[in-house]
Amino acid sequence: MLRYLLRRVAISAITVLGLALVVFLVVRILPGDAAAARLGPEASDADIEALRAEYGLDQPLIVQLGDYLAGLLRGDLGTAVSTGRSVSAELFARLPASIELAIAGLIVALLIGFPLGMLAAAKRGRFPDAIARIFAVLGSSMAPVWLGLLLIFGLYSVAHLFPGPVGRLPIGMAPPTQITGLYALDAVLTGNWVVAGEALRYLALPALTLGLGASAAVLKMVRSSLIATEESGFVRTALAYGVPGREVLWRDQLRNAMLQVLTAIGLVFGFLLGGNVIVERLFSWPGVGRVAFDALGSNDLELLQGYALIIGVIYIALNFGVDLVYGLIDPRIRLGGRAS
Amino acid sequence: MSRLTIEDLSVEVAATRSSILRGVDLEIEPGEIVGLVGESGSGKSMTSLATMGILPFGLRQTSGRFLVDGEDVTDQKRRSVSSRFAMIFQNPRDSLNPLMKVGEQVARMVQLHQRLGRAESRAEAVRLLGRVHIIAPDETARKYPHQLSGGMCQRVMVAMALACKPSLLIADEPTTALDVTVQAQILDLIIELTDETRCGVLLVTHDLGVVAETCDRVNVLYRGDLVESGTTARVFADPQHEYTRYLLDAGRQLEAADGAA
Ligand SMILES: Nc1ncnc2c1ncn2[C@@H]1O[C@H](COP(=O)(O)OP(=O)(O)O)[C@@H](O)[C@H]1O
Ligand SMILES: [Mg+2]
Repeated sequence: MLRYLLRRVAISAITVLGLALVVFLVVRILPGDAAAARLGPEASDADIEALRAEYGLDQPLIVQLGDYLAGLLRGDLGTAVSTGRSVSAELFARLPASIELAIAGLIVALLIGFPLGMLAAAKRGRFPDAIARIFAVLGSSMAPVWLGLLLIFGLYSVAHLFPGPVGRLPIGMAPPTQITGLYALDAVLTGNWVVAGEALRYLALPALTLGLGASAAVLKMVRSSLIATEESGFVRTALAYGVPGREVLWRDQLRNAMLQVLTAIGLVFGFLLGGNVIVERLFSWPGVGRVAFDALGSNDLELLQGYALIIGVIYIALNFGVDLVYGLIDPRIRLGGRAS
Repeated sequence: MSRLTIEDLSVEVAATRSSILRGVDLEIEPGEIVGLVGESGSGKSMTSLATMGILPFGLRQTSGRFLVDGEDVTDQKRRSVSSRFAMIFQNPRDSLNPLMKVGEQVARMVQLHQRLGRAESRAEAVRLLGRVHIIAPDETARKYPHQLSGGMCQRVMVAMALACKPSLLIADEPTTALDVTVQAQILDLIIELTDETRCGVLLVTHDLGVVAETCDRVNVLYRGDLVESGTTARVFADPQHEYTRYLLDAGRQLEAADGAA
């Protein structure tokens, strides 16, 4: 287990370094000039040059890379050219909103995808399976914008069940005292039930939009890994020995399938966190996706770079967490190879 | 009274209706080990799985009647639940749940088939592990399958089979994946337990050497047809079907080659 852990830590560290390099290079290759964009069309060439010099954009690439990596080691992601504030301040202020949305999206995805996946596997080849598969195809092929607009139209404009796409809380309502930055959670922790209720109501539609799409991925993964265990020897043994089908499903198939499903859940969460630029935009959700969207518009390389890096690091951390849980569940990893 | 009677078993692929078994008949008496031989793909495993009522997805049984200890169990969907069947497989480690300690896995079958409580089931599981000649059954019970050798895992499977107090044990290539020395030990164990419990055994194998050493009678399966059946001595001395002769010749040539090498 210790060797396994050390390996995972090393792999994660190398991946982070590689990620930093790739992000740096990709961002430099993009066309456009943030200094020119920030100063506007009226700016003189001299002004632009001065600003470029201020941010080190006039230095050779290798020097910029050196500065960048040195900054990273100090936890300094640079300064956002478009706003003049530090990149980490810009991003960390917005991260909790994105995390809250991603968690809610994941919960929706699991609540829908998990039972449907189990049902589809149990009734494989029959009617419920067909329905679940149609749902999976629809869910994964429907563009989030389209789904989001549909939900806004149906559940807000027509049915008035949920609030419109105007952010995390009703306009004018003060957010709860910050503890985690997740409004619903903070409101509950501080006993502020009115705000908690509103936060959840405002969270519902964007979370549904995100979660419905992701639930298709969860469904497919749960179904296919359950079916894979169905064909494995130990399930055949349990069935041959007369263990009731329900117990085989829960105790043999599901526990073993969890090893694969867990990986998928980690990926889905990372995807929900980094891939929700469009949903955040659609619902005026003030998360990091919005920051990235705006940074793209204003050619703010430093900010984009910081966004890609932070999302990437969270992704890597998630994978590390998944590997850890893996190690705890699976005795083959926990206890290592043959002991005797 | 026979432990198992199979009459006219036919199986096909549901999608293409191509047939996999055609009218197979089998009979196993108490305390008898009956061989089922044939080349790979001849339908040996599907015969076993159909008997247990656990054919894989996509296959369909089109005819067949099953009697266990004289009782007609044809219409029971999963015959394994009620009829005291046990089965051991070619790949012992894959046949055990990788996330459960082997003692727990045996205890689970004890609990299910002997209706004992949790603690008693555990104690009985350890006793059974001892009975299949595992040296330190207490310690082994706390191990996971990946910590045991293939031979040990197969012993655990036999202990699980015993926990069911089966009328019939189906062993599908139980020694194929094991070392030669371990093979002999497992076969001896099966013979010993058959004598002791008087259960019937269907021993599926493609190895005629194994048949010669263990089986009272043998059935030869060729592309889904049962082409020959009789006592082991008779079939080996005087094979009736061309395919059986071919199998025996091939076996002898292998032996000769082994001897020469
Ligand atoms: N799920 C399946 N779908 C279609 N054909 C199958 C399936 N499982 C087995 N078969 C076919 O059934 C035949 C018999 O297989 P099997 O009983 O496993 O052979 P044996 O155990 O004698 O090697 C083979 O030709 C195999 O290809
Ligand atoms: Mg086989």
